[in-house]
Amino acid sequence: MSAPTRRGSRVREETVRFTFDGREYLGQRGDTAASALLAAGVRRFGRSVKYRRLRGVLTASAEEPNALLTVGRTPAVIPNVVAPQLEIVEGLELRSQNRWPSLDLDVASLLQAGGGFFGAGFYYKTFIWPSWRTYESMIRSLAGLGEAPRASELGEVAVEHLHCDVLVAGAGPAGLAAARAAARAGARVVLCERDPACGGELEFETGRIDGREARDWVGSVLAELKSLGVRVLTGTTLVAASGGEMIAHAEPGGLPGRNTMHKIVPRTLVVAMGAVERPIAFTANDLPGVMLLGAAERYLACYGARAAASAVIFANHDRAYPAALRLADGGIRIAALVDTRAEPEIGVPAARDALRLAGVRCLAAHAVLAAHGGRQVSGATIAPLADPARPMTIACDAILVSGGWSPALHAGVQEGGQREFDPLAGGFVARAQPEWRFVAGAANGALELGAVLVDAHAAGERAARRAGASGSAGRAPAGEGDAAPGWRPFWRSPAPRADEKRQFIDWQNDVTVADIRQSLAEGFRDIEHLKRYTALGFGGDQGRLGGLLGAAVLAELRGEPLAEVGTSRLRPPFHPVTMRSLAGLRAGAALRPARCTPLHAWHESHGAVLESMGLWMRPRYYRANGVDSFAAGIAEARRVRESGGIADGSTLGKIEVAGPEAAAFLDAMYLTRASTIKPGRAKYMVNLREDGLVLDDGLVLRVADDRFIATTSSGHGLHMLSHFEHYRDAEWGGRGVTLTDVTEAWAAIVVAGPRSRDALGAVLGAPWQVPLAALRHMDFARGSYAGHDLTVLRASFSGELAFELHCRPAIALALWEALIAAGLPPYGLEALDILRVEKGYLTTAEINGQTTPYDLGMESLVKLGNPCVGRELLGREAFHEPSRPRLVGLRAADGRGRFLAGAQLVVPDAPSRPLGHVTSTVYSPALGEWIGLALVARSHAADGTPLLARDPVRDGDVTVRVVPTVHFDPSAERMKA
Amino acid sequence: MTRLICPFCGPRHLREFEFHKTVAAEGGSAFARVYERVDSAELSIEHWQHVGGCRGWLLVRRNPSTGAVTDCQLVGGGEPA
Amino acid sequence: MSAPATCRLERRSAGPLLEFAAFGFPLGGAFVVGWPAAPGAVRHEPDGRPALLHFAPARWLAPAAEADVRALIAAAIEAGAGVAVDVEGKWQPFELHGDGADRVLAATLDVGAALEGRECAAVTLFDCPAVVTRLPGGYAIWIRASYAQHFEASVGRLLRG
Repeated sequence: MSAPTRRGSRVREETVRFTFDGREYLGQRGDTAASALLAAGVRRFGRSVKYRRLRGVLTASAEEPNALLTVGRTPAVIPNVVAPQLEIVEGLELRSQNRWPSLDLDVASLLQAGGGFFGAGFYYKTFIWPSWRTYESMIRSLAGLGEAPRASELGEVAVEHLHCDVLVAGAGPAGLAAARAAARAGARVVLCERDPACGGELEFETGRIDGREARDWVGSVLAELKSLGVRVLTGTTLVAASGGEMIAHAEPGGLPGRNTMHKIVPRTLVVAMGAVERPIAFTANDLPGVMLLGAAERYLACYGARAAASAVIFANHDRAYPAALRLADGGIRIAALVDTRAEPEIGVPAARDALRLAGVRCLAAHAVLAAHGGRQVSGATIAPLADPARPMTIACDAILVSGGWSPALHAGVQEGGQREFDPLAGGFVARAQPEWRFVAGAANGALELGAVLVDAHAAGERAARRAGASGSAGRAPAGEGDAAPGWRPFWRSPAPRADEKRQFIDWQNDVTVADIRQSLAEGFRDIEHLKRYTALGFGGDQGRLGGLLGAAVLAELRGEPLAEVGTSRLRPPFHPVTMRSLAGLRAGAALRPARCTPLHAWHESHGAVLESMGLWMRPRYYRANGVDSFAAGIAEARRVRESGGIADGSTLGKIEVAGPEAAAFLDAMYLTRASTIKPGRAKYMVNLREDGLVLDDGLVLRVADDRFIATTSSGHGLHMLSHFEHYRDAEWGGRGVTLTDVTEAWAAIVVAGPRSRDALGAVLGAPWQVPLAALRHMDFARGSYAGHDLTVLRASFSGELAFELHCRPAIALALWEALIAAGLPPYGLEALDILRVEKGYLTTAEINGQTTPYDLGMESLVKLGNPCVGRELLGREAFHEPSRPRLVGLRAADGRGRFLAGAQLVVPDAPSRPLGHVTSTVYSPALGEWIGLALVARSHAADGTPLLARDPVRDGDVTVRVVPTVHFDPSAERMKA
Repeated sequence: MTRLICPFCGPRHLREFEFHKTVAAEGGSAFARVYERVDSAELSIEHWQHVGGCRGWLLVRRNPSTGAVTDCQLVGGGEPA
Repeated sequence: MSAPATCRLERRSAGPLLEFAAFGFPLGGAFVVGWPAAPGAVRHEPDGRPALLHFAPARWLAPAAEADVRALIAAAIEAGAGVAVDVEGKWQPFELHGDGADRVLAATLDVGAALEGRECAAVTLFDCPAVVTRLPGGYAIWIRASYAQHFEASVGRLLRG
């Protein structure tokens, strides 16, 4: 099976072995799957999504709708890989898609016979009775393209952020000229090109630029760009270009899995993405063997692969003639060149004469009516447009069609870009642009090489100026290539109605002229409705192949000009991007940051079950204490009350407030006064939002006259800091007070329980003996331990005799371990929650952003209050209505029942009228039953009120009664020991 | 293009900033200051915080119809020296 | 996509650390001679190490709090400009050296753009709050201590390729 070595601009001599549908083929290094298979004579590449029709390669670009292959083997497959982009490597395994059991013999293609059943919008009208589910699994197995992978071989995705002055999208002649102009003018330029090679159509079209061959010019420009420091990204598509950050997606070798997402922030953007060749619709134009004319040229020039032995060319412009000459030179026999234009409109008589001399039939004012063949093209039916009833058949094995070029506008019409139909160019071109975006080349309607180069050079220079560069861009390159196309509109060949269902407009979604006619008949007249109803333009090409064609057919059927029908809105991404690429670095362990306390390693190595809570990793319980969180939490809580324990409180938010105005500032931020706190004392403080609702609570420690440490609940640290900073800068007038986040500068260890003071004393030693003994509730003492600062605060969130140690992180571990050695084992969040609910202390379950100080039983704080943020709106009448919630305690009526947080509270005879809800519940080891806290309407908050806790989704209903919020040790004797 | 130019840090990506609120008109009751917003298609005066950078509070003047930012100062009128 | 083996991340020892917080702005110029007053300004030790970094409005970081910087800060306090806060343990210092340093950081941020026109910048690297400044051959980076483990793991993944 050794094939003679092909020569082309992209292939090397080295042989590469690969398989397709189980059969081995030989290609060359640089080949794509499409070029290698075409060269080996393969014409059938897959089957279509709806009708399961055999399909061949239509294009030589990323717009390819048919030749989508699966790489690899189940379960680690990569589906829908574009064959004209996939570079073959040794050992590559490829399979065609959407066929069973094989490409040539496909059972489901029998549905082709019932073609009318699956017309546009069939899924709205069929598979309804008895229910969609009856058909669902069958449809799921038939639907879609390719098989989803079950294991991932997609590897890591790299991400790169970069800034530049000018980003040029596209490295054809326009992009190269623009990039060079901008770089010469002194701008920092990044050039991206989706193909692995630069040059665009200069790779196969003939032309001369600045006195040399176009291909040589490309090489010299690339060398100059390199010397000017331009970053050239090949194999990289600009997929999204809005929001200030542009995303250029690099897929080396055309295989998803080793991608890089370049996130580029340019000052200006030059859109030079060229134009996409489009086909003409005729009957059976989807048979394998129908290909775009430019694609055949590319396969020949770049890969030395002949797409056909004998071809009929079908076009409506002058470029078909030099193309035919080039293909003939390359060994493809041109059976006929069918031009829809009349004789006088043909602008290249010399080329046409040369073709006739070579034996090619050149037919003017003719059209290809239909392609014939069973599994691939074997002939073309051609007729004069004046008299379509007199067709002739010409044998061929390919029909190379070109209906003109649609400028690739995407990036030129997002974020405020305008477009307009240009009849000379034969497509929509870009018009008004935002000031940071410039459009060059085909997108401006320039299709002739000389005009493209001048236009692009000017765009590059303007983009550089706008980005701030002031150098000289030099002279624009002067070029001459294929003449302007002289395009005349011709969108589809005449055909009887019955054949319209085989005139394809969108290959990937099996959309035909018949579908457009049906869509119109059903009232979907607007181009956007047409798109959604028929799925025209939904595929990987995003309508670049068939969008304008479909719009033209719609215009014809509506009897209106194409310019008025328009095309549908273009959206990113320009080209399919995997979800993995979009996730970038944020996958797996890197999904979100984990904040760790200084004791994290100790928790991990001592059996802590850690949970991420608001980014912090916190120990819920320790495995040694129980089989699950319920058992361990109870065991740990019980132990704290019986002897003692320590907990890691380092996540507590801490803000150092310092300066001559610190006290006055804090007075304005909290409901109660900070200025009355004496140095060495702490106070429980509550602050309000500006609308009067409680925002947060915490202790404020006064270190000195002008220095305080305000603590916040763990989840609110940054929020409270922002709240303070905002008030200081926006309303306070900013002087005399500074705010510093010291959350991480202090580790916090809670030491609680009857043995806490003794154990602490043993650990801290002689220097602390007197200060420790002197500490009353809410006093703190400062000193040192192991050479670092230590603050010991007497405060309790557990209701036990307890201390909060604030120490420098450097000694946190030593202190923690010393306390453990002194007989105080650790407890986690589960136990912490049990202890605090037993004492009626509040967390964000009660301070939930919907409660006022009155609701929470903090009236005493309000009476003693001072003018502060939120004070004014706190006074509104609505906050005193009987329907306002009130914080209460709850117990089961039978002393045994379990009720859960979230249960709705009602009275038994009005079970549908919620009066409130349960905010927190725990099983209390101290009391031997379930207890809870709740917010219930004032009217029903009296002690002893019987209520029903409704929980239909979980445990069902439980009768409860209202009790005081402090369930355990109401006189707080243990804490004041 | 939508980047914010933080007066302290220079031009930074929008994702580094957190919108806080639209500033109410001067004067007015506490209720108006907290709940009422000036509704204009041309000019929105807003407080943003540069949480992904210097944590400075910014006073931003923005055209809500086009998204264009016309001015960006530090709140309180401070200018970094 | 992966950084060459010469790029390495070093965790430095975290010792005494101070932040100076000024009583609001405008600052009216450097209130003490030798004070890095401009946004992003850095005062260096004679050996080139960054000594005082202006990384946020009215806020400076003194990473080593050596004697001369302490004196400068004391003078600023004397002049009534602000307060010093002992933040030992808040920032974990790192150094990123070698040929791949820019590439590694580019995965999260274009550090060159952030440092344009300034010597230091407050940034977010791999979702971690950070302060960054250039060193010969690389960068000095201070990461908020609770995020340090995540930062090290993120960089480590890229260095391993």
